[in-house]
Amino acid sequence: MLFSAGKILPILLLLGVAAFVLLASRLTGSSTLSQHPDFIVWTFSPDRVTTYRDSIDVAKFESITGRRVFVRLMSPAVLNLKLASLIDLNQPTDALPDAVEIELSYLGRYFTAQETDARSAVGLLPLDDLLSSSDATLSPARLENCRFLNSVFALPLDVHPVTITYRPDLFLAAGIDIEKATTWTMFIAACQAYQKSSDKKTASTSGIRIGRRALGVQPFNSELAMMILNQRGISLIDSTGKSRLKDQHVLDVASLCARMIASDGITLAHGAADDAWASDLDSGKVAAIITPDWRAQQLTRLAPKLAGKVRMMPLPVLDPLLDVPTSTWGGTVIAIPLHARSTTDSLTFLRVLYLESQQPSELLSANTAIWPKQPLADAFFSGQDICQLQTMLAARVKPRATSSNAVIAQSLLADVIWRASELAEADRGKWLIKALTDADAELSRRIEFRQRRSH
Amino acid sequence: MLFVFLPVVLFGTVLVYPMLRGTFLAFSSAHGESFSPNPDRLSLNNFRFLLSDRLFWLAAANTFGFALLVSLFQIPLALILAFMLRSIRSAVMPFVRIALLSTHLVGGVFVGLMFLQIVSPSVRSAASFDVLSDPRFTLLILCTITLWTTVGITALHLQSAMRSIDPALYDSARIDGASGTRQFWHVTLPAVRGTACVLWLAGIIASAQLFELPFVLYSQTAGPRGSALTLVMYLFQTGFASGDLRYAAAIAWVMMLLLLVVSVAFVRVSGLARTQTN
Amino acid sequence: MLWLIGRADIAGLKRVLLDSSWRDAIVNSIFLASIQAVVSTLLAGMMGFAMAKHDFFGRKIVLMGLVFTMLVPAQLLMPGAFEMVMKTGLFDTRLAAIFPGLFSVFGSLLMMQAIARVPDETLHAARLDGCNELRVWWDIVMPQIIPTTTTLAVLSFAAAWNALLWPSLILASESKATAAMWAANVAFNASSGELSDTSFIAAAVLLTMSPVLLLGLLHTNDD
Repeated sequence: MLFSAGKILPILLLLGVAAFVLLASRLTGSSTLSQHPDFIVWTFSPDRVTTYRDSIDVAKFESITGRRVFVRLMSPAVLNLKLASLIDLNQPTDALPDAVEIELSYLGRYFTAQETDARSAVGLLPLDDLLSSSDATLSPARLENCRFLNSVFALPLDVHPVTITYRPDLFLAAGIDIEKATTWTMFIAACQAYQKSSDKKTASTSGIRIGRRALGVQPFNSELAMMILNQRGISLIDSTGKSRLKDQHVLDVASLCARMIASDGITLAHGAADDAWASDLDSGKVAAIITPDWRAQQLTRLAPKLAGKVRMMPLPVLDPLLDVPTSTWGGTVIAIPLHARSTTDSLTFLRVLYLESQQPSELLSANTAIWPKQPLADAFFSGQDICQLQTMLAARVKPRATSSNAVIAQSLLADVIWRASELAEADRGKWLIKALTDADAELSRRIEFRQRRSH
Repeated sequence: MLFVFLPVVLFGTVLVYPMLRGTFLAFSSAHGESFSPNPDRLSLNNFRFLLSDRLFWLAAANTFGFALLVSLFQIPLALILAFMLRSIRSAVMPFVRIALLSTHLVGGVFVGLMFLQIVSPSVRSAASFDVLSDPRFTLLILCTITLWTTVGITALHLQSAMRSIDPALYDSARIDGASGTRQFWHVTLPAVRGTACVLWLAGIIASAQLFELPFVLYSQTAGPRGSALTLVMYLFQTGFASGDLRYAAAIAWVMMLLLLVVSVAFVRVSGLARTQTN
Repeated sequence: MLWLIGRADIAGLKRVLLDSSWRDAIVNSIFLASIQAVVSTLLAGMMGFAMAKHDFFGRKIVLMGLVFTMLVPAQLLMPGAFEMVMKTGLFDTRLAAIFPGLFSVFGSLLMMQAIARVPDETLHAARLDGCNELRVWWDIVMPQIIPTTTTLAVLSFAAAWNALLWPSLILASESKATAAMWAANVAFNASSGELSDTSFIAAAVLLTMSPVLLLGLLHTNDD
């Protein structure tokens, strides 16, 4: 009778009941968050969990408010999904965290309201009062990332200066001192010389062209261009929300990038696997990679065989007077949801941990934008003082505006650069002017669409 | 009769609210976004923009091209496979079944990651040819992987249907001198027509909703030249990455409308709506 | 697959098995997936029966409605469904995590097709004998479509087991995490270089996938 519908359903039912019994016996009490008095912080970085755990500021906060700090770790995609869904509900709920760390590329999503009195529409608590009542100086460049409609909605947690990590052994074998290349033009020339020499060598030994390239880049996107633009402080969508795709400088950078990624250029796209960049450098497929500071750390773990065989150099520039030899890549900010359970406590949290921090620095700070990282084993980078280099560069990073239309802008630019790279060098200039004008028009149309929402 | 209506009603109520909210979002347009203090006003703004949205039509072309290609091969391959399975000895059967099932059971993300390792040039260091960065290969890669994932389970579905065919029919066909192929054509096919049609329709719809695979293979971007931009990917980018829930809802609705046309046509042509009684 | 098996070794397997959060996650997943499989298959069977053997008023509309709901991408329904969950206070409950999966439209259509092949005469005979619809369904119809039922149950189990998006959104407590969520977490830690113990990762993935594959063994056509 029970088995009328076959064996499988009763079997599954049995399994389910067994599992239920196991779970029931382990009931840990109420799971509703309303009975969870702890101060809940969401983060996506395992490093940060350690930092919170060891922080004396946290202890101070706990003694002030009487609430224990509980840090919940989840992957950035999950965090963003949950936070966005909760904030979209636009109502107080216990499911909201009391403070949340947001990855910079996800921040733009909340900056969508267009009216000047729509500060409450962002879904995050404005922090202007908190900042004005404090003496702390935060890196203005990073603060710019968190600004929208003249209010600051999050605090920058870190600065990620970008450098180039390269293998001196490979370059030296070709007789090139790549660190001498302080401009992009010189860099490209040096890389091409490297490639010519290494091509000759590999072609003769095996007859197969292994295709060694000098510089590794991320596939399919415009990170390279964004990075170089940021060296001069230019964002694709500026802080007033206007598209800048038609700018002369964007044209120059697009042309430069097209040259670099062309088939006779100097770059190789990393595979899409998460650690492809590390293995590419390890295997020698590329001789240099672009490294935001966290990649430098990860390299020690992902490619231990490279110890002592790599060095770090600042980015080359286009114009030594106007550009800085570094850029940013991502970043973390910390924010308070508008409908968080106790905004007073949350503001206290930010104040104690970030504006009045008494944490001794194994937390290096560059202009008081806290940069929680452990010093790298200098031996890995051939005895170079990486921390000092990155700290110095971090202080010079230029601001980048955050916009909800950033994703579209970047993919438009990526498409233009890609197509330009397939043209012959002589044709590129004129084509780029037209393509960027078109892209600018498209982007402006989309920005306008999102703003003009009446009738 | 209550027993009959109970599931219908249950299904209805559970699915209705989220869909209604989605509809409302698509037709609304207001200052600011979903948490704006201003009341929503109904408008067709979203749809007007969509008509001229280059990215939407690119996504639509990619998606329907993909769905067409997959649906052309999926059911025929599965049918042939299922037919061949009939003659496999029962001792070997469980292993065959596991093998076929496993490609589907392991989940889309895992399959994507696995293929990433295989196809990614960082593994095969000798190749300077990165197949993932060539836009001409995108469709081929996506189709192949999807077929690899789904043909097995589809064949098993069909095999379940084939089992209910009266063996006497096969016997009489054999007596009449029909070869294997003719048996397939005249005995097997008509009997499994209903199941095959459901599977075909489901396959088309599922293909049109392709998201996870290109998401993983192309690292959450639209791939080379946007060739991996599917409709649901565009929906996801608009809704989650840009936070524009209203336009995302509009995209979803137009996509569903297009699919609806295809589905209705399919249902009518295949006669799926008739209660088939023998 | 073989690459994974190659990377995993006893040490890695032991580490995963000893990890209590993995065990919790597996039990969670077994519970959620089993219940979802059983309920959704039964519901689909009922729905299929209603659609296949009863020509009621509005049947065609319901059919088109079913097909229509299959068209809706899950991403569109999520905000609305999430709102429903929050409003009913079912956030962070296992019930909410499986609820959407209980209603399988594809399953209903498949069952509808399978049940359509059941000869009407047997049904009429049973009804004449005084059976109510429930008995007709359970005693007459379901035994005739066992292969389809089994397939659906296995698929439903797998879908629930591998589901990542919705459970990640709905379940907040760590004790309620599913195996898929746990594995995704491991992958996330691995990709950020925090976890470089490849054997652990490989073992984690293998062991997390295996229950589903084992269940596939149950899928026979000869019940």
